[in-house]
Amino acid sequence: MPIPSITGSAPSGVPKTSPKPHPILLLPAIALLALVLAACAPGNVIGVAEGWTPVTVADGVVYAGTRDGNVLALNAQELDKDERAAPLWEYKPREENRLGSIFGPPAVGETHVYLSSARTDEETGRLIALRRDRESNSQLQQDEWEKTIEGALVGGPVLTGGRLLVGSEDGRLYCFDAANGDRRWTYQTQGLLTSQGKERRIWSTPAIANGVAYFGAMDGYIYAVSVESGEEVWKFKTGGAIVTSPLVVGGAVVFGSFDRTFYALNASNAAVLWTYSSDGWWWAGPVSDGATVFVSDMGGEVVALPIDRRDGDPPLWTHEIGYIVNSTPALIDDKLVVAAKSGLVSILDVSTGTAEEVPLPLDKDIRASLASAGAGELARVYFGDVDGVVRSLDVDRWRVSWTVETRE
Amino acid sequence: MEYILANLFTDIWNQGILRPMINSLVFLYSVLFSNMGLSIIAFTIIIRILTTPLTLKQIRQMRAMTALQPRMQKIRDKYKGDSKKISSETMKMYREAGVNPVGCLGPLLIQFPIWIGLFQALIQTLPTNPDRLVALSEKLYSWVPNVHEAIPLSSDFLWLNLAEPDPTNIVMPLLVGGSTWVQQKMTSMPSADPRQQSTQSMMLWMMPIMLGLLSMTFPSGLALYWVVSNVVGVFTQYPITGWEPLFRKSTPAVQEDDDKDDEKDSQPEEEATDDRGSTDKSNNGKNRRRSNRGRNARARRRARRGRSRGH
Repeated sequence: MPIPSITGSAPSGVPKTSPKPHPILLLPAIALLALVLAACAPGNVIGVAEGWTPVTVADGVVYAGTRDGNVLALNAQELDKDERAAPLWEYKPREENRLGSIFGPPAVGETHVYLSSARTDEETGRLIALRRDRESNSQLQQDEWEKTIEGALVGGPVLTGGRLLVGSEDGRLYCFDAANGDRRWTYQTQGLLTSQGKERRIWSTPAIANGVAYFGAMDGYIYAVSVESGEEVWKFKTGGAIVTSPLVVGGAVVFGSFDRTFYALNASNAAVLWTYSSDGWWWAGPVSDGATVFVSDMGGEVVALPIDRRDGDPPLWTHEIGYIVNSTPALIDDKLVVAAKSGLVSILDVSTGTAEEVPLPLDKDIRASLASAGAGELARVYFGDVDGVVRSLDVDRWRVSWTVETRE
Repeated sequence: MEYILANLFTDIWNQGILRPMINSLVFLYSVLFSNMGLSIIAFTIIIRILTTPLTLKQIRQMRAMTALQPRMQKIRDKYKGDSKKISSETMKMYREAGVNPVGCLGPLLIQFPIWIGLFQALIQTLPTNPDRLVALSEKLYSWVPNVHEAIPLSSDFLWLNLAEPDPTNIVMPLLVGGSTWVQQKMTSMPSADPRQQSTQSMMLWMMPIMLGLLSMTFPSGLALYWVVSNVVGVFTQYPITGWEPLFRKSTPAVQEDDDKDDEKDSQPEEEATDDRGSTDKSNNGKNRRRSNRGRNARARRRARRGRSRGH
């Protein structure tokens, strides 16, 4: 690159440059300082993740993984009557057994509640099983079993036929005996070969159908693995990472990828049934009424895609939320409840996609999946936000029926 | 009002600096063999090219300021004790010479947002947890090809994880410190002002030590940026000054300028001869300085001898 000459020419050998008035220089300096300070705004300094307060509802009890790394059981009906009702129980592990950040929803079985977590500072994951009594909704004092896993657990565990499956950041899908925590098998994913190593992380919660576990990974593959043996049934490569939890419906496994494409594959042989492209990543999981898949991309476009559609067919409808959507929506009473990251909660008619009510501006960052229960007057949607508050939404009256602060 | 202003500046920061940086890094990553190290190197070179006009301006201003040192000293001597007069005369001198005394700070100031922006961009483009990946999704342009598909990025480069500090804790800090010292030494100008001299020599050591220490705790990607930026700076400076400033001691050059100026007042430069009898006409500036230095040293020695005989 040629460097211009800097020699020349003022009487004392000083080069001539255009003089500038002094005070004017203060303006850009002040603007620069303001910019630097703005750079330190909380939104730009992202610290250690603290979890998303995910919830699962079963038998009238809302189970929440808190931002403090505890597990809370809330009696939804009691809270409907009295917002100050005490939790049924709270599990607080000792410091050496701390759970860390909880992103994935708990899995609830007949006898146990299972929860996975990420200790991001140590890059390990924790999996715990808490015994519960369905009748009294009580919990034993100690956890039944617990495991520390190499690689953080971001996705939630899934329970099927006495087995517990969970994907880890070390690129393995783990299968445990749900009763005692004995490891049955592990499946090692392909991993994406990078310049120096392999990208292997699994953040997706597996979906189970007909004895096969389906899950996506950061390496861009969606995998189908036998629950019984841990052997690979098939794998399918997309053009981007997969963090979404797939759904199996009508013989198809549906999921979205960071290549901005939503896929429907034949669940038995991975043949592509159809695809749908959008402008944003797909992070939120899909939900379905059996005939149509409802899902939102991260750009906030909610789409209804019939299972039997063909490539190129337009969606049944689309609805623009206008904000980022991370959380899997909830389908309840022919209505679709969608929560945006900004805290705007919308309710849409599943057949037309039109908003049924004015969206609720909760002004809270919602990233965890929505959980739903009940019908008619008792239809409720439960969700937690990144500040650790769990909410119950009365779908019929379209208002928040109760909130519980889970942080200490 | 304060809230609106804070939001405005945060938006300007995000939209004007951070987002372009993140998208540039990810795009370069996607075209440079999915290698974040190469992406940072290319990014640094682009930034240095874009800031070249500012850098050249800084060099011009520094040289101009250096050339004015003797005149400044004279003003100080002439109006000793009258700081107001010194100040007004100095400003007058700057105006006449067309020098902006704080003009050389521009490129230095512009570096700060780049450092902070790159620091944030590295953390945000190499997400290690879901929160960071969500934050990254908000910052990617939908119209830039390949950026969405390129995520997640590999942060490995040589022995480094670019999102984490150098695991050896010594190699990158040494490279950062060493290259910063070399670049500063290359760009430093001799000064007649003892205070400026001491500031310069303090900065010559403080900055490398400070950046070296920061490299121990900051992501090694930022350390890589500093090293590459310094190396580019050194090679940009080379055609202007050569390697000479690297081996120059700070004090003689200062005195020599002063002496030269004094001599200029009493004797036209064209007629000056060195001890070997050759005229300065045939010499370049370097030789002239060397001969002046020799003459001045000899004059000082003669003066000392004279004083000691007197005693």
